[in-house]
Amino acid sequence: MNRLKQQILILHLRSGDLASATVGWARYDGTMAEEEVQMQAGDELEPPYSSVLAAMRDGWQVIQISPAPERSAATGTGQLANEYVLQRMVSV
Amino acid sequence: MATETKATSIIETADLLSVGQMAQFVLDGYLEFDNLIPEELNQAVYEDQLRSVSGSALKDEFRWNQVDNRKAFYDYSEAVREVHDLPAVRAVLQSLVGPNPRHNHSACHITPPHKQESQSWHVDGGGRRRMRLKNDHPYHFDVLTAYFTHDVPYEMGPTLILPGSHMRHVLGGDIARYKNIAGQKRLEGKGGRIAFIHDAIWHCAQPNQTDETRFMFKIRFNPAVPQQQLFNTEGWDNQEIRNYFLRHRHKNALTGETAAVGPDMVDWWHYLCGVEPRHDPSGLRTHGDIA
Repeated sequence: MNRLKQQILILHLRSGDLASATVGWARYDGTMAEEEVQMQAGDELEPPYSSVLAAMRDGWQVIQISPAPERSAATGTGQLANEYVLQRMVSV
Repeated sequence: MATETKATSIIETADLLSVGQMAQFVLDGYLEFDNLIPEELNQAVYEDQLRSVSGSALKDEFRWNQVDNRKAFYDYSEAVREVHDLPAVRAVLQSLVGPNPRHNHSACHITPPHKQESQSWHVDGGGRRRMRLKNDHPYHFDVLTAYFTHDVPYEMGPTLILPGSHMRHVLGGDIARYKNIAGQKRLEGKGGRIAFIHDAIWHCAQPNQTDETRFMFKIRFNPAVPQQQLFNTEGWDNQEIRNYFLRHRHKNALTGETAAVGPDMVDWWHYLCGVEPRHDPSGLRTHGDIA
């Protein structure tokens, strides 16, 4: 019997517009076996999707949108903003 | 235990970093040189590194050093000590962290052939400001040197860095969720190179897809003096420098940080050059005075 397994894609966009350009991407794939190598830091030069909208068109579902960043010159910057978590359930 | 780097000669002003080089460090968080180390000396260090491995594995007699002695290879290799005592190397260090910096710790990182996994993105220690002890000066920074004795092509997986990330405030492993980021850069290139890296820069070790062992020797240096006017500050506010910061103000911006990072960078530049901070009655630090 087939089982559904989850794939997670985390995209960071240049702005809060879901059509803006992808500047960060990470994939965690629940369909891969333990001994297989997941996406590694620094292993891709081009993002899998140009934007969150492009990923949605390919079947990914947005399951979390980061709050709009509250920041100023006085607070500086830290983590990447505009983070979107997407999932895809795959039958294996 | 921290030790001081021995000063054996006086550094000439002309050998210190120029304002152009320092501006590049402020913008990107690192500088890389391939012309500071004589090839014969570089080869001697590489041979010392090769003596510490058997095939692709670290020899047992060197293994304990990685745990018990945080500067074992530095102690072992006269040649590597000589490299870091070269006037040209010390001139760059002095420009960034001042004379007689403390050698906090060092390590010879050895990556075997066909290692498939990357290290996670991380920052050594903490971020640039808020994560520091309250008595640390906000513009204090350490320098990490990354010394590559042999050619390290892209597929050999030299250290991956994110230029400009030294301006962000994060704690060590909090960025491990990220995998690929626009602008990430592997420090690939020929042998005999040494990079000087701001301690807050995001970085990680990379997989080695070749048949050869990869070596990278690093030292973390702590400044012993306030980091002001340590380089050749002649021309610190000339038009060329102003244009440099203006032209590149969006270079390392990823998710809309320019408006915050730009003024922060300019304030740091003023501090480094030993001049008064900009006067901005609005308190918003958003006016156009970029240098």
